[in-house]
Amino acid sequence: MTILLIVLALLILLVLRVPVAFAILLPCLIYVVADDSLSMGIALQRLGATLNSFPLLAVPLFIMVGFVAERANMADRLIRALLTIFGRVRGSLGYTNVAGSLTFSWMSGSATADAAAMGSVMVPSMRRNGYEGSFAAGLTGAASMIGPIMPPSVGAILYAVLAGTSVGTMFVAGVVPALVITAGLCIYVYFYSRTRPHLTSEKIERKEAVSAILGALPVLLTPIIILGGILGGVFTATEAAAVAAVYLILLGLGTGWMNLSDLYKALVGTAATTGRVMIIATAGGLLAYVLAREGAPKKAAEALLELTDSPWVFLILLNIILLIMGMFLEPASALLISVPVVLPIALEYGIDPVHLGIIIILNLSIGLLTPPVGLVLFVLNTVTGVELREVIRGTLPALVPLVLVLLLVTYVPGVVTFLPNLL
Amino acid sequence: MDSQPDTGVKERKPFWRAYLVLVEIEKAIAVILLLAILILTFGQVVARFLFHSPFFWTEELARFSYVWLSFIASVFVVAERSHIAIQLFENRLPRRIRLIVNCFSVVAVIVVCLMISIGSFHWLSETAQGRSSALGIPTGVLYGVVSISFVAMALHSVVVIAQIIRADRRERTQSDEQRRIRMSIGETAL
Repeated sequence: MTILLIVLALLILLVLRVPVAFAILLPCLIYVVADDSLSMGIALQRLGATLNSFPLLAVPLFIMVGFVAERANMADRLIRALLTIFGRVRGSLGYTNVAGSLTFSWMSGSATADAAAMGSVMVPSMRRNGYEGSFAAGLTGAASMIGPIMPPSVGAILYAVLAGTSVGTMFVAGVVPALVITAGLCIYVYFYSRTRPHLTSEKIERKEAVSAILGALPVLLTPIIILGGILGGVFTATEAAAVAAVYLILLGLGTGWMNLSDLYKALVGTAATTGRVMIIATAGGLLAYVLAREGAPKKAAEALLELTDSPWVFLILLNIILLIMGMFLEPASALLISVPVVLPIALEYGIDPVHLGIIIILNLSIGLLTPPVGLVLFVLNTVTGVELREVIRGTLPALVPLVLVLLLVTYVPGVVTFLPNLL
Repeated sequence: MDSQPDTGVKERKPFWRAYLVLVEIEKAIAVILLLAILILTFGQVVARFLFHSPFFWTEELARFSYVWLSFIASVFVVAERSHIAIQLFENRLPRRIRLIVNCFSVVAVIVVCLMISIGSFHWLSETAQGRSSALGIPTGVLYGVVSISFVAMALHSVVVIAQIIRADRRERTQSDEQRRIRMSIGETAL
């Protein structure tokens, strides 16, 4: 009963546009006040304790890496290099778009940052070269899904801390699914350009090509620091984030790609994003505490197990619920709310926590591409000027490869667990 | 993402100017804490590689800075009205209902902030007596900053309500003007 009231209050407050963190906090605090054995001091401690963790420090640092890379126009440099590689292949700009998202995702852990960086450069240039605006925007949106899966991924860090798995393992687990998405989208581009022979781009001079590729090389050292450092056991994820951030800041300032004022703006942006996400994390920590105290996860697990004891059915239900949740909530908030409830249930079904984490992150990220609150759609509309209706129309066919990948990831756990098991 | 922050408007009145300066100061504090996290974590790596002995206090200070950063950043995010919220039917609501919903959502924020800051006051001053293991930072200081941040969020929210009402009034006078223009066009047409 108490649980139902809390969840109901939470939903009503969300619909009334109370910010997510405060919509979570209000019913939880009332619960704390109503219970004589609890004090507000405990609530405050819970709020602070959620953040007081070394692995979580990777979140602001990786957000910083993404912001600095964006401010210094590093996506631009990557795209120029990729264009020379794909050259005059039919549909080359489409492939460049997908590959650009892949390379940029090695520095950024969020889909919206990815969509903003790629959309502003790739969509105008694709339209100039004869691609439809809706296809260009839709492809960019779908390709931005690589960002939250491919390490470094903010979602993976949050999940790892909530689930008590290692951040490194979660990172590694995302690599193969992200590559599968990349491959799926390349096939999509292939089918699109097969019937459109005019989709080639201009020939690039050899000299220009060499300088474009050389210009991108220092940027590509960042993923080597991050992935190589973590996989090679040189750094923890948090340390890798710090080293990569210092490297990118020095690179950006040293080459003049950004000035001090750009850096300050990037840092303010990082702080604001950190505040927005982490206050929800703290509120989520209190919610998890309250729910656990009321035995909510256990009750939900019992009810579900009575319904079905097949993990396959459970995973279908989970996918549907998460997709719906992702349609209305921003992924980080949805992750922070859902994991404490879903994880204990999934463990009852014998599902691997790492596998579950990738399923949750992928599901919630896809919600960024669907109305009514698909943030990536709005970002693409803002940075490209393509009408929202057209963006949505272009995204729909691009959702097909994404949903196929989601099913693959859900029902072939090996896609996720293969790489972490090797290490 | 919320509507454009009202704070960007050029203000002549000293109160609003001072308020904008305050928000900028909060941003600067957040950036300093962020840089502290970066330098401390990076320094830890350097210490481990160069001296083969990590500092014992860097991690703790970085973690504490992170707690403070998150809450202080939340304060100026309140001022900019850009905390994550669900934006359904944003512009489709009638003006009066939009005003009520907007004000309600801010009042809910204020209630939460006051519950936490007032409710934890006793605990902070009486019970929280411990000290951190590495640096000996009192528990009261660690959580005190959190508590103060919620007070600041409540104060910012009061200003935000004033801004919402001002924006609404501007919209109303504008629509009055538009009505008058429409009427005058109608009169000349007749």
